[in-house]
Amino acid sequence: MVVALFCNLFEPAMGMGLGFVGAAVLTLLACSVIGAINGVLIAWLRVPPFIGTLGMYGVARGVGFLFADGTRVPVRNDVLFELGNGRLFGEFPIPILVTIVALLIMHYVLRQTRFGQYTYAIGGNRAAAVRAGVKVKRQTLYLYVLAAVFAGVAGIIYSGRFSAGSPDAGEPLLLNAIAAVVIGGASLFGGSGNLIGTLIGALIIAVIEYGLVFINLPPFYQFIGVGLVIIISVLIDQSRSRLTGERASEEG
Amino acid sequence: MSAQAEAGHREPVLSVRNLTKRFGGVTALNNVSFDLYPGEVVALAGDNGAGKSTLIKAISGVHRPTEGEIIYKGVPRHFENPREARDMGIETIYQDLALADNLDVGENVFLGRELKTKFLGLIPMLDRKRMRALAHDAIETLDMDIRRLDRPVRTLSGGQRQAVAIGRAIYWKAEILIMDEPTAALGVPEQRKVMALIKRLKAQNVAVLFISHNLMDIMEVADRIVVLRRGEVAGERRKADIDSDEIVRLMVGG
Repeated sequence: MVVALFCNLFEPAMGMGLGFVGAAVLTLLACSVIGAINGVLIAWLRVPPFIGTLGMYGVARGVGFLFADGTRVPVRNDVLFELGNGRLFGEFPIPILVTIVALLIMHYVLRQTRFGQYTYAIGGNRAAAVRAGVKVKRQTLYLYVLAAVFAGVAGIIYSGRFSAGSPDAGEPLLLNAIAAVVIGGASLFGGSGNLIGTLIGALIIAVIEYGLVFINLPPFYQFIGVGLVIIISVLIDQSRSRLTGERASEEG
Repeated sequence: MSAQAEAGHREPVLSVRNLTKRFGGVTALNNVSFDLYPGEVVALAGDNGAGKSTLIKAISGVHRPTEGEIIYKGVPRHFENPREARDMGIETIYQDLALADNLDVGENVFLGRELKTKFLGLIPMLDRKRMRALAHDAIETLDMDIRRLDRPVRTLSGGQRQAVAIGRAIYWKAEILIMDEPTAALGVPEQRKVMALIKRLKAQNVAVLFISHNLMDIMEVADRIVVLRRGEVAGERRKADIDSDEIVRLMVGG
């Protein structure tokens, strides 16, 4: 889940000349490639996930800057604009609807399919998953591709919202994304968490950020606030597992 | 129901014949042979590095024998991987139990072989309720009581976790259960429970092969003891014919 939201970096160059569908498909394909590289690095070459994704984040960012000549690329496309700014029936913002659909799909996948079950099993005990016949490496690869594709969807909406593709778009969201899943109860070491928690986590982050704006603090306090929230939520998580006897078997 | 008495005229469920396993120049197992009968408990004893783990891994499909053969239910088998062995009824429980701590009892018993149902006849979903119920039934035959089947297994005691692992083997109709140090990480009361579990398995006609360092455990549940030393069978005795001292003597040689 910690895959960075870096794929929106790829968006800029692609809006041109291809029409919306072509550009979107190309973007998502590019994202899958990055996700696949992540997956191979982590599952086969045993690069620690944080390092692997961080490294690829740097690479993708650099490639984004190269494509965009180090600047912002304006994108004019009505469909894209609607996707970022439109409202369904003049009422419901389309980015929110896309988010809800994505949440519902992934909640179903995680809770009700073997794919989801194996994902949790790998996080809980990789060896157990292997012995139960789960194809752990392939599953890991799929997960990184999936995460990258969703990041790509986010990237497309992002550039629609601002009518421009920017190689460093979404960069400040990196920390927010991690904070949202951690607050939502996901373990950074795998095996726990769910999308309802993540949604709540994301809302909490948003409330904190807007709250800080409302009380007229300079925006830099947002970074400090979110950073502190991450640390505090991990601390709470650890003390909670201590209190509930995380490892009952040890005193068994 | 003494397995010793019956062993003479029954077909072994497993025969290991002249098994040799080399890793490069190192011979981990040398010409090992023994039989395992249905409803029999065999203890595998030996000092560290005697080849116990290599032997169970060869039987359960992790290692491929360099020479010799493994005859399972009368047919020579070459298991390509642990999955093949499991599918045929040879279940192995390693020390770490191979449970996913974050999943519940039902999910663990059915890991890799989940049951599904259809919500409103349309949307495929995992059938957690049925998985829990069936897991509960399997564990109940072990006389083990686990009340909260919907909690992650990390909340269970060591003995209960052992019961979940064994329950999985039972549900999937294991004919041979191989256990690596089943009592190693447990407190004394939990050790007693695991010993009771092994007796239950025996009563269900499952053949049990277990590695143990604990001579008391061995003397309590084993029908036969196979002692390995430096990759070879140093001795094989019925429990009635041996005492702890002799096991130790066989283990260390001399």
